[in-house]
Amino acid sequence: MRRKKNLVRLILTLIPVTLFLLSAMLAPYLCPFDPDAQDLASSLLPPGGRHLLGTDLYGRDLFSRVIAGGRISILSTLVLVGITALAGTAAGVLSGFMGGWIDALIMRISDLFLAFPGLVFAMALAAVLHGGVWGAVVSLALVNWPKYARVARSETLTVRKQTYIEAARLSGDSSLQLIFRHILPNIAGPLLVTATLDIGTMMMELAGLAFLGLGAQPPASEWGNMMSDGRSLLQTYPWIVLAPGFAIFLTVAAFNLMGDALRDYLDPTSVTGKRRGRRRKGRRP
Amino acid sequence: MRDVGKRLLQLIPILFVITFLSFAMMHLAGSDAVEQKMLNTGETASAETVDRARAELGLNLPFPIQYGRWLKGLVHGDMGVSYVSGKAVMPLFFSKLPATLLLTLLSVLLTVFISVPLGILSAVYQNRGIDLLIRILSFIGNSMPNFFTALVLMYLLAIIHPIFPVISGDLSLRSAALPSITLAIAMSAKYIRQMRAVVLKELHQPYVTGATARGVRFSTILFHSVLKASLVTIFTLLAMSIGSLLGGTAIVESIFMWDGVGKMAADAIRMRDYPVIQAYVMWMAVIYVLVNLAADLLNRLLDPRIRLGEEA
Repeated sequence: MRRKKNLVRLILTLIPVTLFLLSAMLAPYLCPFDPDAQDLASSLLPPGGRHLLGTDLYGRDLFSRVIAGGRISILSTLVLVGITALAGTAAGVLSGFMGGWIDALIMRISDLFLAFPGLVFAMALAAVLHGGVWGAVVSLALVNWPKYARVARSETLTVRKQTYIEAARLSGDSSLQLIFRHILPNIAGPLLVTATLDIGTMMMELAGLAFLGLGAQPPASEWGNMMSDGRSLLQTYPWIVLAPGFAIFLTVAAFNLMGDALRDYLDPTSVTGKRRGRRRKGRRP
Repeated sequence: MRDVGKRLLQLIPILFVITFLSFAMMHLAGSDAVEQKMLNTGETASAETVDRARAELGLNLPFPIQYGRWLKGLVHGDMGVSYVSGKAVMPLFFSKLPATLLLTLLSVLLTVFISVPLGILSAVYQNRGIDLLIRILSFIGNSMPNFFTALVLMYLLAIIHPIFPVISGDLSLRSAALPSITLAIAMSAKYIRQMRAVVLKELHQPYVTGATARGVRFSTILFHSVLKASLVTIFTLLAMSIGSLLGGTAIVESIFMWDGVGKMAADAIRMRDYPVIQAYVMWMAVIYVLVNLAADLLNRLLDPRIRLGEEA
């Protein structure tokens, strides 16, 4: 019953996420104007009329730029979470399955990465990699893989001790077969939840790097650097900052809702707010 | 207590590894302070001038030698001079520290005052109106990037209603308000959730049912037992955020022009100012070791189970 309710909730939260994904994929067809076309005659127009969200300093249509920016922001975030999760899982499974010095080595390396405040480390890496969206993606992936490695390792350690693994090994499965056939499918749940809940955070960090000038570069419309562009005009033309700002907020919120719903669906024991057990009465003095 | 000395000694190898790695990384970047300075000022210098500038800073030497020279200076208490401003790094770093310390203190205090009561309230009134409201607010806070929160607050409280200054130039409470609120909003959103989860978990423990059955007042159970048991989680979380706050929050400090170590690091990274970056990296390593140490000690103090486990 609870599980069914959680499934319905998960499906409902997929609706906004799907809409954002569709708008990212179809961005070139959805923009009413060319997002990069300058039209100085109609610069700094307030929202409304022909330009739904107004225009920026160069007369570029903000609605089109927000949609085009979503394409960069959303797709690069998904790629980022994808490669981070894959790399982290590979390291974690290897660590948990092999044990011994390989385990010790991988865990010490991940300690080293965890020692640093993520965003500053990512900033330094992004600077080394000479900016660009993909530079930012690679640096955030380098900073964030240990989280997945930890989850994958501890899950692998639990699964590895199960008797069915022993049985599979006795029946002649090789290590690779064990990992792909028996371990990975059984640890996928927690990793999927971690990855889904990570999408929002990663989107904010990518936008943060772009905001500092270490991600997507200015002519490109990316939410973070659109906000950084409009910053100096906040006083008189606030919509230039607010439009991409709300776009990030709504997208992150949509992915977070989905992440929470997925976690509750896959792991009903986690405490989020659903009523658990009996309801205590008369607890107020 | 013997551990404390041992942990502090660990700091030395960590400092070696971390400073060497950051030195190596910055050199892999392929562009240096001289180049960045020219890019920024837009001046074009002849190849000889550039070479001379590089030779003056020792940037033409192979990087292990550069690292050795820097290390030798460090042993003598000299952290070098900034490639960009020409000022000595050590005083420069210490001049940025008070701003970051103030911001850390204020935002942590604000966070505790917001998240502890709201988290408890949310757990006690689980699934009622007030709980839903608090959860919605914390959800919103969790989905706002801090630079957006910062700009919205700046727009509302500094531009439309000029209560606070737009640029936090001095170290006054009024200047510190907006950056601290920005940081507190993001952290509170996270901690309300944690606090709520911890208190809920404790409320479902058998000892609570037992105490209720014996007729102990709910407020006594809540404040004496439940809250005490939740403290370990809260302190561990707080120690970690204090650690990352002491590292400076590059984005928020930059937006409000708050002159702390985070902004210093961001600027130094942009300008490839190696000596300043090194100072920052060392600061981070020190914080990391100290914060972990403090969190462990606090846990041992607060949770008798961990204490017993160690001795057994």
